[in-house]
Amino acid sequence: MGIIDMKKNSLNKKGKLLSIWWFMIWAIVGGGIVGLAAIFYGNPCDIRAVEANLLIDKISDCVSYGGRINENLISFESSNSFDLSNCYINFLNEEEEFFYKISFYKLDNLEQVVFQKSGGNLNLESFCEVRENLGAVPLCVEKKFYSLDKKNNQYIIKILVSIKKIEQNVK
Amino acid sequence: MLNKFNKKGGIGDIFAWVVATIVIAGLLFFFLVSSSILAKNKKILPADIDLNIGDGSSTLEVKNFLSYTITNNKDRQKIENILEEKNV
Repeated sequence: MGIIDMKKNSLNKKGKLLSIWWFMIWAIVGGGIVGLAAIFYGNPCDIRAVEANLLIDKISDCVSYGGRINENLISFESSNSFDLSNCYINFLNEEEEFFYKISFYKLDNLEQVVFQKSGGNLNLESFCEVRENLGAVPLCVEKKFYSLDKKNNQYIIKILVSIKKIEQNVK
Repeated sequence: MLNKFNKKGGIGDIFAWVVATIVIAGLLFFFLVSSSILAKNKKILPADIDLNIGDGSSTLEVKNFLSYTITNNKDRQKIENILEEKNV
């Protein structure tokens, strides 16, 4: 056995030992990457803020158009005159997952509600009073804007939307 | 003594690999924990989406602007202050 053969043998022995370690390292790293991706993409993504803003967008388009209140749909005498289905918005079979409240205030008296209409799952409103983030609870978004009626009376319109959909958005 | 260790492929080598494996496993465990925390807080906010889709404020700003125009900006500052306040 020559000097070169001895060197080869020694390298092979070392190589075998190293290959086990290498295999372990690659397995850990590979498994880790798969695990990271599975955990990250396996969890749902909370899009309720976007959904709530879209709903507010649509409701606001319905109650006010071109800077004026849509008095064809809204009569301040009776809140029963208005229904969200008139705005071509319906919650299909998910009425339990949504809540909306539209409130009109006159600019001269912001304490008094002139007109109010709410719908959907009324139990969700109570969650909107708690402003802290408590985790898996319905999400509330509230927006205000300014509008006028035909007689140029000024109003502040407040739209509150709450979306439950916890199973789909929060784990 | 030194020669003996060197011939066997090195106990030092094995020790280094063990340490390296533990370090990598520890790092990956840390990544797994942090990714699960990140995953739980995953959100898409209106500001994250381009073209103002789902950002109700832009639509409402246009509505405010139209109403201001009709009234020739009467009470504009007062109304803007009211709209900025958190509670009406």
